[in-house]
Amino acid sequence: MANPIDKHVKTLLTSYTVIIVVALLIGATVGPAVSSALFQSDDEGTIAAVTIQGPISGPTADEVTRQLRTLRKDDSIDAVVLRIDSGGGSVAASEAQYRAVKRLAREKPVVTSVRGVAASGAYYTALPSDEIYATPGGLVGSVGVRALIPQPDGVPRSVTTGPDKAGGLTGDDIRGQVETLKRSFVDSVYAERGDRLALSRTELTNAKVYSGAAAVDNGLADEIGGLETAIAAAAEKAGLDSYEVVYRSTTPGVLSLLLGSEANSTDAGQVDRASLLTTRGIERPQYLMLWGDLNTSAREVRASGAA
Amino acid sequence: MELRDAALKGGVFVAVFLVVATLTGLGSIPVPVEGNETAPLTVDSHQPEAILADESAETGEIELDASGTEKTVVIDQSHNNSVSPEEISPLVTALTEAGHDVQFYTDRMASRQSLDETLSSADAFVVIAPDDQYDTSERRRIAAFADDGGRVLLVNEPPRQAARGATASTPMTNLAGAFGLGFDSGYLYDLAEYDTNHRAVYATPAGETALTDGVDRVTTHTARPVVGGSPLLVTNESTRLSTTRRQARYSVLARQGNAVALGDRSLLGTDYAYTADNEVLVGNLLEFLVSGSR
Repeated sequence: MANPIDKHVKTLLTSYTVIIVVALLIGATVGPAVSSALFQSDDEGTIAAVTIQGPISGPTADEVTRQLRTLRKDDSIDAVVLRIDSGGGSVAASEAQYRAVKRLAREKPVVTSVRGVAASGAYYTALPSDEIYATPGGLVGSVGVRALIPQPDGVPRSVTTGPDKAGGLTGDDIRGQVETLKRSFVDSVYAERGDRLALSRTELTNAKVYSGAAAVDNGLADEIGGLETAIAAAAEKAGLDSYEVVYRSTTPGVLSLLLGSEANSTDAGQVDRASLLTTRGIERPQYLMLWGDLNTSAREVRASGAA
Repeated sequence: MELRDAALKGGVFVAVFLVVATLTGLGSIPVPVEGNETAPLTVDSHQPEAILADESAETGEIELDASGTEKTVVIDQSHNNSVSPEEISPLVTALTEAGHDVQFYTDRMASRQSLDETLSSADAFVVIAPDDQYDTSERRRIAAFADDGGRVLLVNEPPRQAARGATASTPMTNLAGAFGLGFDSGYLYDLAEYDTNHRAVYATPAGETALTDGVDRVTTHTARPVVGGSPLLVTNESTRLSTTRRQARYSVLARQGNAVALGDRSLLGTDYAYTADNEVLVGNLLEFLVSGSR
């Protein structure tokens, strides 16, 4: 005799409703991707609009690098628009994103549209773009670096093979490193923006965040405009009269969530302060290109006035 | 009938499975390796030679002439002063090695012995970053001590963000005011010329005085401007104050009679006492403390 529960489960699993719902869900998830892949339009060209948002950390930088590499290698993509909304994050991850954008910009026109904030590490990411568009209320800048330092006192608790093994960075070390990273950031801004920048080095290293209007005025950004304007500018740079736009996200979509891929950890919502700044249970210095106040007990060293 | 139904459902399931498998499989296809060779990317602003910062050297010793008579230096700890013997060990060590007596006027000591009694047997009185106010009688007593030839050193520092009492008027203000000295709010920074960090501001002697003898340049660390008195050490003109952003030469060390105000507590600590000519300045400050006329 079959168990009644088993029977119900069997009925449920074999019902057309469930099968169709599952099919619909999956179809809705993968449909757009398939259709855009199968039905290339007859337009002359394609522009990819890539959204980069949320705190910048190792996983998000990996995803940005992977996406931009794909776009760089894809001959059907003629130009790329970066749609940025982030206050930055870790220094190393921001550098990785900067380098990924720089590689892309060597081969294809890249235009950035500041959606809300492109500050600190996110501004670093936008730097190699041919042009940066911001709306008057967008926030741009914060060219500076900060370090969060745990405050260990006394002899390390663990047995170590050298005095610097457990942490070992003196105040002088940290200040030296922060200054080095700041120089790299500031030099990059000058190298990328060149004559367009109307700010002196001391003004820039104040690390102020400017409104889009002020940023266009002082040369941190190029033009006032939203996403559509940025797309049109990218099309013009690529010499396209007619084009289609494909939208790419650097945060995982429903498909990767369904698949339970590793990319789950790059979900902007999940990259909270804890995972951004610390590895649970381990205290070590954090170098950040991040705009905003941090509510943390760690000591902080900044290389600029307002990082 | 039942068999057909099962076969149909099975067929639907397989179809869905195939669709999903195909689609998910598509997502795993690697990026074509064709044309994979990527030209190396060289970023000038990422090269070490372009960006590596030099750390400032820490050299020298704090020197204090040991030939004078033994003096008693009292360091106040009874007004919630953010100071401990460890934090100012260069100062304490130099004084004791030169044969002087260093006393910490703690809360416990204050319960047994009044400030008046303590100062009557002291030659110098040091106040470092207090959190509590000095009341009128204490201020009068300390001023009288200085009038009587005692040496007074007032050392302050800017409050950290979110620290208690982070206001322009700190507990030190009214005591310093008794000597015609004061401390501005905020901290000093310099984005044009600095020692590794913008808060490490250079200061040079404003003239030739005993307190700045042998000092070419000191490095202050998150200093607070000193107002009033005769300025002895002033910052570069590219220095700014965090609260007003005004660019000016700021005084970080000033003297008024037997009282000296220093706007940077960190100069007395091990971390910064030996940077630039800081150790020479600290030696001079100690000399000042033990050369009163009491």
